[in-house]
Amino acid sequence: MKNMVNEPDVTRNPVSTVKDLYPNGVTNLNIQRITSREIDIPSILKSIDDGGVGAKVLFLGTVRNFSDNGDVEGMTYESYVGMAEEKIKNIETDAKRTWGVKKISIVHRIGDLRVGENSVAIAVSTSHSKDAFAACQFILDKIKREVPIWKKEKIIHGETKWVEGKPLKQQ
Amino acid sequence: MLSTIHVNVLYFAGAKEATGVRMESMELPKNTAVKELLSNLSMMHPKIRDMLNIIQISVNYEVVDKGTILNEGDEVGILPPISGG
Repeated sequence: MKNMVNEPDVTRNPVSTVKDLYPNGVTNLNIQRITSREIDIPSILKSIDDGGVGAKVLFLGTVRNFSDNGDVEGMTYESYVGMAEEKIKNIETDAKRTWGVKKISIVHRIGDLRVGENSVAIAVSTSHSKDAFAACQFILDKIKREVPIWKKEKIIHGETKWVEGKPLKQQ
Repeated sequence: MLSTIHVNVLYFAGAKEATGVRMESMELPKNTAVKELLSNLSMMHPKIRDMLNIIQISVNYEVVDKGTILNEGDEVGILPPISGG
């Protein structure tokens, strides 16, 4: 077996961005579901507006200042962006089919985040409140099992440590 | 008829740290299975051997069994257990 090209690490930090993975360019990739920018809550809420909805639920996952390993000063998120985009799209389809969701927005942030910053946003609009809450929980559970994202804790006065994860659900 | 295929292998999280590499292109014999690729990768990158029992493999964005045969142009992901959301 021959190793033709051993690409040097094109990232300056342990973040997998579209540009890192596809340095020669990429087409047809919607990058909004995975972002390295601060999560834009007003835009997300606007995107789920629909005249027929009676309920909207917004969930935000936030970096907290402690973990089992000690006091946390930040978190780094990394993603297999292309695969993550596809899996999130599938989750949106599932949520619409299962809970009658009208509009949906799922955004996961990658890169270096400080304590208090939002790492993930899930926003849904539905006819009724019960479905909106259930859909949000359904989506969050699926993200945790189906979307290739990894997080690394930065412990105060300590080292960085990948959070123990769960195997990807084979589909 | 070519007797080799070319695949791209992408490493993530702890696997990227273990190999020091984000992506590498490989030329393999035709009909190479994922488990054979892993065997070769662990020879090239010894630090990844300790992770072999916990990593999963994706081919073109789908998690696959280790007996899966690779094809020309496949994109292989070396995926530690996930922790997003």
